[in-house]
Amino acid sequence: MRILKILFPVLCLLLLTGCWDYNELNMQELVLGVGIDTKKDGVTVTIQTAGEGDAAGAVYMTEGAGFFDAVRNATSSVGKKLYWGHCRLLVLGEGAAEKEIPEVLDVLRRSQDVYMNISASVARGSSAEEIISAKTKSGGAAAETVYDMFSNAANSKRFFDVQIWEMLRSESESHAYVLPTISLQDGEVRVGGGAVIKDGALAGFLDDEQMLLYTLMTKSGAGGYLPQLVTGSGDRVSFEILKNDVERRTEDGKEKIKCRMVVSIGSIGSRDAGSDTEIRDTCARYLRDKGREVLKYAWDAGFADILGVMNGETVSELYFEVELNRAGMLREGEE
Amino acid sequence: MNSDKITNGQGFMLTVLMLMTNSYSVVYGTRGDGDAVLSNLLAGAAAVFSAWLLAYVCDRNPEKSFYAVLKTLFGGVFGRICAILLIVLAVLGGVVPLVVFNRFVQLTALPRTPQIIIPLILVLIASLSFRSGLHSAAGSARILFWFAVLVFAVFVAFGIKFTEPNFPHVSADNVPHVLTGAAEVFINRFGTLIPLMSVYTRMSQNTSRRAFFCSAVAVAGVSFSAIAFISTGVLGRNAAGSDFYPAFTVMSVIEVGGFLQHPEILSSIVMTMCAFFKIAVCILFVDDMVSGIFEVPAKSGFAVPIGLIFVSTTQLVYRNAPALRRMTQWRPQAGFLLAFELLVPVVLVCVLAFSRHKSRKT
Repeated sequence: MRILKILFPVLCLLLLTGCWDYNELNMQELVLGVGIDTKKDGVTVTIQTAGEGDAAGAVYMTEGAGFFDAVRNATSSVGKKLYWGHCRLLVLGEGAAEKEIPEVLDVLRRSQDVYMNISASVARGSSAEEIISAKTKSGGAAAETVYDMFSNAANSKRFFDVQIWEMLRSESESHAYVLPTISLQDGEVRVGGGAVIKDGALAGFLDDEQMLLYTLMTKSGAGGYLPQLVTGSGDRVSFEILKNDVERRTEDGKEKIKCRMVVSIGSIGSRDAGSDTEIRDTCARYLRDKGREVLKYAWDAGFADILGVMNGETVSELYFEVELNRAGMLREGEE
Repeated sequence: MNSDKITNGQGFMLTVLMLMTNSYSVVYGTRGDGDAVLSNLLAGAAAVFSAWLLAYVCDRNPEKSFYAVLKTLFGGVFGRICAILLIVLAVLGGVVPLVVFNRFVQLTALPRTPQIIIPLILVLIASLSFRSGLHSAAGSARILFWFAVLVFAVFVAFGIKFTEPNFPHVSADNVPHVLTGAAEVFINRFGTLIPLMSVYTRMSQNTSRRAFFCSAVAVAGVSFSAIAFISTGVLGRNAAGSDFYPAFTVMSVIEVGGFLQHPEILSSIVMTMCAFFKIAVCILFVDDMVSGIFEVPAKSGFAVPIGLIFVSTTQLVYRNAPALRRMTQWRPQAGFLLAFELLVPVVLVCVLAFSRHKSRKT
């Protein structure tokens, strides 16, 4: 009787071998990235899946009246059930960024197996399909390569990772935000610059340097580098950003933006480096001039609100305070 | 079941876990221009006050079950009528969160599982857990509470990193929204304070009992506010208001250095535990009331049939997700329920004061 008491629950376990909700791995196609382009009467969706063996990084294309429609139509070309839980990249073609963002966000939010930490981006100069289908030097799927680039975004400050949940918050709170842009250079995927999204539609682009200034003027943090600059005495100097604090305040209706930065010298391209003051001033002057340029550009293009200013003309003070930190592996500037 | 006493610490943990049901899925009070954090804080303060009143009434009638307290205050007939009303309240208070939880599990994990399976399993386990008394459930709560604390710490510590703070704000325009949000929170989160009296009357009879109970309610209120703060800060007010399960969405985006990813599975475990305790306490309360009304001893085998009534009610209550959502949102008709839940403790204290005054006179 005692043995039966033990055996009965063990035998019951045999009944727990499966259920009607089972979803085996070999029944699913894991989506790594998705690209959306518009066409005359709907959208084209490009889906890159993990696959296995020769099918690793396979790209499928599907069409439909809208994003949801196209994804549903994908079943006829993919065969297996698409599983979106591992999707890490969303690329919007320029047309899709102009018209489809609200629907895309809505579809993603309603889906059960989509996580909100998909990195979003806009294709510039190429279609989303070309980006997703591009070959990478590593041989891996483009979606994975781009995702790796986003993971290191803080190192450049020329683009940064924006995920779906951040798009939702920006749509909800500020109505204007910046997505990173992806382009093709000699057939290779390149991430850099930003696409300004305002009221759910593409409003314009920022190039790499504009993006750097936008980042410095709106976000605090470490990481990133400045372009190589030439000082008054002809030295070529590169800088790395060690720290960046942004202070914004409004006085008498005028907005003031003050950036305090600590930079270190990445390299000096001459035998006799100029004085610290000269190097520091060169850096601060570049940042101030570029910053004003970005403000004017954003104001003229009608999206100055991405910089947190409602009126570009009311910014009375844009100030970059640069602290030069020469410390490093070289024993210079000690005295 | 009245003989099974639990410690005040166990009562504290059981109360917190019971109130935290669905805390990592739904965030109440996020609609309109209201401020979810303020709404949660307001509802929490009202709940602490209600809990204090209920506990005060029970303390003035020591060693009595809650049904016995009702009978002492209202007499046999009115006591029974009051008990029947409270049974309805407890069934509603247990069933609606159970349906919300069930719908959540269906949406996130088991879309093709028939709706009745999950409530049935939870209710049967909850009913059967009382076979050896409340102390077995309370003992489980004592262990599982610390897991819930860990998950809450993960949510706050890592969620705050993704938050763009939306600090509480009140203006003349959003006061009505804040108040209706608070009412929504109170009904959905603290609507089961009265069933919790079945736990309270089983806690150790000493001076700190009331403090333990009220602080448990306060801890739940503050936790809801923190969850609302982070959810609205991460997703934005509008997105958090239009999402059915915003806290779960927030949990799913938390990522720490590529190492800790998708901690939402932890929150699912906590919600399953909390749903179990919620339904267990509601069944216990109804069992107490039914035993009292029919004057039969406790542990007469009512728990499973009562539990099955809960299960069948889940099927009656649920039509579809939008209907469920409407049910959990504030509507003017819900004012009766809110008034009832808020007035019961006040009425009990008034009747107690009146009867004491009367007995002192005589």
